[in-house]
Amino acid sequence: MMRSPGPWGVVGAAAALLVFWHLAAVAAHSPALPPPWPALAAFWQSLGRGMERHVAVSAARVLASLAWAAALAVPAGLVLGRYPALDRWVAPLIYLTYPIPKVAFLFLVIHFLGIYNLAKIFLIGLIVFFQLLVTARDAARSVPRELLLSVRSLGAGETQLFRHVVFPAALPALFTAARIGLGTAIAVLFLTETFATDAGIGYFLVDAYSRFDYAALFAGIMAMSLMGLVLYVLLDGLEGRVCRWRRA
Amino acid sequence: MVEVRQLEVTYSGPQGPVRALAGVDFTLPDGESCAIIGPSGCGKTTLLSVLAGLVAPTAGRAMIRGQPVAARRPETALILQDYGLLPWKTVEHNAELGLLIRGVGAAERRRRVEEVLRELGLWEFRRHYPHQLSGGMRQRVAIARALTLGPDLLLMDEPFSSLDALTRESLQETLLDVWRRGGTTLVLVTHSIEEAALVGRTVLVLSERPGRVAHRLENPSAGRVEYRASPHYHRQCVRLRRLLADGAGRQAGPQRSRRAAGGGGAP
Repeated sequence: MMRSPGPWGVVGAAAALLVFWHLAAVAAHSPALPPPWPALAAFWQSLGRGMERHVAVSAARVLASLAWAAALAVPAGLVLGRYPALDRWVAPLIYLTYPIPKVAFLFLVIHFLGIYNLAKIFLIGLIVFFQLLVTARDAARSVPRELLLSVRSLGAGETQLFRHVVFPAALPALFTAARIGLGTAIAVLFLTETFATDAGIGYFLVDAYSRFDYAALFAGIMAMSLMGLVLYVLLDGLEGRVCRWRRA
Repeated sequence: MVEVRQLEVTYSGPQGPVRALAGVDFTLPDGESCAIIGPSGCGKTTLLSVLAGLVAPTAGRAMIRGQPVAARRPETALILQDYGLLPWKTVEHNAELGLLIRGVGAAERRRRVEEVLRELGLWEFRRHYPHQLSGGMRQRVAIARALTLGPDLLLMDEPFSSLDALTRESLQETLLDVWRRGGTTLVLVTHSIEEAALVGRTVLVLSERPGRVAHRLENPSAGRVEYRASPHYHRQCVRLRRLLADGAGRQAGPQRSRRAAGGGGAP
């Protein structure tokens, strides 16, 4: 199980990154790659001037996407994993559609869902959906047979097997999938925030770039990284609560 | 009463159908204890699975108290070798699982779980997770989980075989304590001669696959306090060892098993 990084781990990692960044900036000697200090100053200045709103909007989009994807993918995947007969029919469908870059459907999504939040949340969630679906299915498949047998011998029906055995057994794998999905979601988030919005870190980045304000650009990148950190810590915290037995 | 008549089980293996049991016959009155022993792969576990309602007979029948075995007979409890405990539930939640599944209310669940956990010396460990316990403790929890249901039939598949000798003996005593209180029929599958002779007032020796009852050893002193230390127990072990060496190698017909049953033991 992954543990949330302690505060000193985060400080250490941030310091290492800043040192690396500084060296790279000195070596590159280009206005496109400013050293850390101007960028940190720009970040500081952006606080209280809209950066919080951008971060909040982006985080809300990511969380909404993860939520709908998980709400559909987890039950569907667990059922597929439990019923190989069903999976034989659905698996080809998954394998045909999983590798398609969903971003290629951007124009379709925009056509049907408009250009605002709904389209963005749909597209991000669609990508995470497949990662969670495949993980949930494989996790449900590998539930130890003895556990199913022993709980069934207590009189459990299918629903109770899902509740007491299959779902909890799949949880650790699902959290791993959610962590991977979170990374993907933030990457896609950037793309969807480059159009039809005036909020979100993606928008902030594009705006800074269009003004050739490289310090602000890097301030936005830092904000994105910090948002990711916070989301990961939240996810780890949730896992710790839900999968308490793995910490004990 | 457990009644098994001409029970046959054939299942499909990777190399075609496998006959696990070929005509098993026995009856067991209520409140008795029975040990089933035999060579590896003789279908002991299959027989137990049929009694638990997890495997359907291919032919013949298995009846419990006059009813054909059904998958969810609420008064039957099954205990497996690997405990079958859920790693994500604490001791108390594992113990109450059967009650929860049967829709027993929270207050009643708590009452019965506390009673059983105290009896088995697990109460102090109720908030532990299975992986924090030793093998013997885990098997105790599995027994507790079965006992909360107040079963009239307790089926056990090599429950103590992975435990060290002292832990095994202490758990055997716990099990016999429970059994001596009455009301529970015990069917225990084991590969240990000593355990079979200690627990089973009737010991069924199965033949090589496809399994059938090769010998039936009457062992009426089993389950008594201090039986383990008695010379009689040791003689029964020797007798059982001979039966096992004799019956396991060959196919024993029904005639032979009747003779063994009538003679009450060694030839």
